[in-house]
Amino acid sequence: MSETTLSPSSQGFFRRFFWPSDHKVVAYQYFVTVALFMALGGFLAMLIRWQLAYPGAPVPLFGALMQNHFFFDGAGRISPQGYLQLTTMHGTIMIFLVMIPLLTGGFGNYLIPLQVGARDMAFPFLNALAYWIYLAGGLVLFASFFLAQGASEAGWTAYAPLSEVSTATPGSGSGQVFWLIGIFLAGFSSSLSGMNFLATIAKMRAPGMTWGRLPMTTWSQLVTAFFQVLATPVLAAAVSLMFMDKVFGTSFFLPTGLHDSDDQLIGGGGGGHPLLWQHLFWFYSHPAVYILVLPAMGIASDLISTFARKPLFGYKAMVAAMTAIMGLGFVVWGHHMFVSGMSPAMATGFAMTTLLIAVPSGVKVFNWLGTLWRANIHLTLPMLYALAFVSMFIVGGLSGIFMAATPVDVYIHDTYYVIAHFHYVVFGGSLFASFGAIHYWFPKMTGRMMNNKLGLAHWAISLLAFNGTFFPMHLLGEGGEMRRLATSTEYQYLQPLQHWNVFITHSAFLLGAAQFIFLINLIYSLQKGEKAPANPWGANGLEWTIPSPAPAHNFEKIPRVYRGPYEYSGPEAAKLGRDWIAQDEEPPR
Amino acid sequence: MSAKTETPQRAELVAFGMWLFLASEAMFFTAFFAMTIIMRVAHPELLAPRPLGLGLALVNTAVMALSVWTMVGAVKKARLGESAVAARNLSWTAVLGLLFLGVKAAEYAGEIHGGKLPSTNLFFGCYYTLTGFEGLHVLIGVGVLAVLAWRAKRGDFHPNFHSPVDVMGLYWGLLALVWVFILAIFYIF
Amino acid sequence: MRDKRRWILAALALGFAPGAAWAALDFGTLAPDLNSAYGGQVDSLYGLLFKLVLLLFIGTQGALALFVLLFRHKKGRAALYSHGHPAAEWIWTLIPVVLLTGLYFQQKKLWDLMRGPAPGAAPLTVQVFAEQFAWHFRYAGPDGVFGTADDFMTVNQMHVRAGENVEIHESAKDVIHSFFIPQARLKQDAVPGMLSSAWFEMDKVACWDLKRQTLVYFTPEELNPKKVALEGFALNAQKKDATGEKSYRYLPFGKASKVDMLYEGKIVRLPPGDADYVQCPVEIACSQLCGIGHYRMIGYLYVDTPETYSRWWKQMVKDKRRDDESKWTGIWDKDYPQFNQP
Ligand code: HEA
Ligand code: HEA
Ligand code: CUA
Ligand SMILES: [Cu+2]
Repeated sequence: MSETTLSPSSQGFFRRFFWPSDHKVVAYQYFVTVALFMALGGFLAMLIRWQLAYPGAPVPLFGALMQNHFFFDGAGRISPQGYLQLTTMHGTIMIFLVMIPLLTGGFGNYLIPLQVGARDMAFPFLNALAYWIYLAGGLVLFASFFLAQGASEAGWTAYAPLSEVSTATPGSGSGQVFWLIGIFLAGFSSSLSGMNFLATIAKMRAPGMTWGRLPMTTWSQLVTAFFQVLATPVLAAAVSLMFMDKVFGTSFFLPTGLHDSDDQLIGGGGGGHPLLWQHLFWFYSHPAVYILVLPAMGIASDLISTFARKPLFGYKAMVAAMTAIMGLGFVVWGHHMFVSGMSPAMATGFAMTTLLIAVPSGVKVFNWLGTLWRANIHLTLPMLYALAFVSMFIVGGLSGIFMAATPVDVYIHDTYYVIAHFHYVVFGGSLFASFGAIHYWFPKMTGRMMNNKLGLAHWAISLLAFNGTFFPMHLLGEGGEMRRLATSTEYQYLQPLQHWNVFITHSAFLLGAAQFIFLINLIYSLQKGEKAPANPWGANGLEWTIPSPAPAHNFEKIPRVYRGPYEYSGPEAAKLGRDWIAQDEEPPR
Repeated sequence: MSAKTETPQRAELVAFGMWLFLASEAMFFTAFFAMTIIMRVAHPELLAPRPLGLGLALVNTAVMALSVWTMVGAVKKARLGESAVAARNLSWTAVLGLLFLGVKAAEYAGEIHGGKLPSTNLFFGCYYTLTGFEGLHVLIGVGVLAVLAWRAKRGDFHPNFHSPVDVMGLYWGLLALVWVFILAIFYIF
Repeated sequence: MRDKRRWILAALALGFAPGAAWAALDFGTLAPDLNSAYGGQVDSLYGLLFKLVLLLFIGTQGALALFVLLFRHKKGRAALYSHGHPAAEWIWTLIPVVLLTGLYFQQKKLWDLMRGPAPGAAPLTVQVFAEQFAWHFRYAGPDGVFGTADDFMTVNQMHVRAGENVEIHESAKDVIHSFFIPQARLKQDAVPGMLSSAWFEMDKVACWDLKRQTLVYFTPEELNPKKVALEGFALNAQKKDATGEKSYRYLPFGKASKVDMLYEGKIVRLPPGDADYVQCPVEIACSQLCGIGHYRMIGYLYVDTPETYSRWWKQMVKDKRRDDESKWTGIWDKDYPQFNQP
């Protein structure tokens, strides 16, 4: 194959950092942007927690600082409207601007070409473009904080008519329009990345890199990319329809006879249906939650096999399970709508598919356990995060079973039980796996190791504080505490649970503080970290065959692949006197 | 001028990428068509006297068909390396695209004049949304066609490099297909 | 370095142990169940799920911790070179399939009951119209037909008779709200432009125990020997501290020397000081984000004994209570006449 090779020096600074053709630089762009949005989303969460534990008490420092701007009422307190902006934007930022871009834009971009043995993505131009579209979407969402009436406050799910009727709540004015534009851009960017990933994995594998030899991280990105290509456009269509409703006065999601708070009939043709929005939104957003978890599963598989020094248990089953999750993932969206007024018969169908999706998820869990069975486990930092991922994912997944059972979901729907469930899967799951990935591939990215002591502290405190924050939310949910309440203390029956809110808030602050350890570790290790060799972990993947940090265009010579990525402790490796053998090493005689 | 070349693998890769893009676009439009079908089932009364005249739509169908023909020509000629002919074909496609938009604009003007706005009822809501997004796609397509025509005129395309024209052909085909569906669902059935 | 591993393992366990402990604590913290028609079944389905999940939780987490301990790196240890075990994989695929299919039928049975027509005698139908940020209730009145002059309407106040099926027909005026009575295991969204319905049956009366100052629940029979004040007491909330925690008390108000009280199945007038209990409502929550006032969109449901219910009903009919009538006649009846069809 005669590919035009560009040496990095032939690109100016501008080209290299603003329109990079190197997939790794695009990944760095995502990492940095995601970290900033993560800090913002986390900060919003801290304000949420303050308000829930101490409703009506002025927020220290920030309350005085921000006076009556943003979420504050001038006396340092969070207003009910401000609270809704906080939850809406916290959820929106964390899902659309943090987790999806981190897992796909960040890890996907960085790892796919390295793991398949390619010099770059299939379409580097598109890749750079996708980043800028994502950033534009993020900035539009960010800008909405500064609007006179504030950011959107209809929840990250933006249910119509609340989100559509601008008199229904202040944030449904221009704030919601910004929200729609921001989501459209973020979604479009995600689709473009997905196409790129699919094309790269399908067409640019190194010779010998058969489907059965792909590392799980890449497999998971492939499956995820299907969601990004096929489900995300439906979100784009849904937000376009809502945009039409808001800007051009159509009424797709507005029924006939809708009234505003002054009992005035709301104009427009009517005839639409609020549940249509929910169907369209969840048709995308349920698959979106699997966009959040599949790459994390792939990463965890790579990490666990590497540090168990043992081949991944049931490679084919792992791939089949991901495919099954994708297939079923397209037909479970109605489980968010059990009490919406959707027909009970449809709910029954969705309950069936939702329960069944636990089967492939279980296969994954059991195969990870199988990998650990009679292994030779090295508890390195990445491994610790991967184990935390498995553990926390189980908790989050099992609470999903309660909600899949319709009669039980009637009670716990829209309570903190749901909040507990998904923070376990997205933070305990996806984010812990991401931390693992960062610690694992950091040497490849920077040529330095991350500090072990700081890492351990971050891991231990995060895990502890995470459970302290989110486990008691199950109890709140069982007690019947609704989500999206500016304060739960208005309800008499929730009074006895308030002490849990205080406890949760303290844990959340600890959790937030622990992230600074991580930040410090990043900065410290970037400059002072131990120098990393090419293959510090004794891992088999192609990315470990090239120097650390990985050079521009990755491979001097496109490698030839002889075996799968998990051949640890096997006979071939033994011949070399080690417990690993790289994918491209010639079979030893 | 240094002629850019590409391997057959690269051309195949680019086409593959375009198919993925088309799949994604298809899902995007499918959501709108689903919306339209739901509207028609829920509100048959909106179609009782047929709300749209067929005349201009048929004109546009002809324009679209013609543009597909010129586009196919462009793809063929680009492959053969007849760059100048390809350029002419591409330009014609762009012009026909503009004509399509012009006719559509005239149709819009008539409807708006008759008080038929997106907010009038759900039928027109669906109609303006679908045709609007189709129009937006055509507009973007015209822009790309213009660039391609310019590049073809410069002689960029030859038997060893023609994938941009190929994928443009695929894209244009999708727009034609979407138009056929629009014609069927809003004007004929 | 090796010794530190032990510490790591401790931390590992530390991370999971609170989870396990809490999981045990977890059970039985559902709000009290007053729905005699299916509330108990919901709770036992929850209990069944809980047991199943706890088992899986302990099994998987235990295996995880155990494997990490047993197979941690030691000098001379070599990992087993194995790519899987098809038989084992089939087993742990098929067992969950069977479990979950069983669960599916279990939950479907209950779901069909909950969301099917209410069994038995014709239920009492109450119309519910939600708006930002209030609940409107309409009863059909003596003629049993909605949309007539003898209907009566209340705001944020609903009464039902213990032991009677109640069907709610709900919709919303402006945005989506959700009618949530935790003690009835009932939640149903009220969607503008659309009528949703659900049913429930309460069998216990909520009372405030004046001595212990807590909420208690009694069936009408259990209430027989008790003196329950129906008026003359008011709920008093005191803010405790900065956390917003409040404490509630029922305190006598007014100067009346005698108040209505339920005693031995009759309503009698007795001095306020005689009361052991005060009848009080359970809260109706709005559980769907509906705007700025979402957090305080609270309605009150009184579960009545036959005596107190008919006392209330007669009062409503006599007063021709039509609170905020225009929501009903001006919007519901006008824009959605089909919602009044039986
Ligand atoms: C990473 C994201 C992620 C993941 C992976 C999941 C996974 C699952 N989710 Fe979750 N979910 C969310 C993110 C996620 N969810 C979010 C964000 C929301 C809320 C959105 C909002 O309203 O704001 C939500 C809401 C949500 C609801 C709606 C609740 C409500 O609003 O009332 C439901 C209902 O069924 C549900 C179910 C499930 C199920 C069954 C799984 C399953 O995939 C889990 C499967 C895993 C296991 C079961 C554990 C391991 C398996 C075993 C150990 C094997 C044996 C198991 C059995 C035999 C049971 N989820
Ligand atoms: C991936 C998704 C994600 C993540 C990670 C989080 C993280 C957190 N969330 Fe989450 N949350 C959602 C997604 C997420 N959330 C969604 C979708 C909703 C629903 C919204 C809705 O209802 O519409 C929600 C709602 C929600 C609620 C319910 C609000 C309500 O309904 O009223 C609460 C309440 O406690 C909460 C708390 C928290 C807390 C304390 C964290 C903490 O874990 C945060 C801790 C993190 C930090 C404090 C960041 C620190 C970062 C730095 C210091 C910088 C360094 C970082 C790097 C260099 C990378 N969240
Ligand atoms: Cu009404 Cu929330
Ligand atoms: Cu879901």
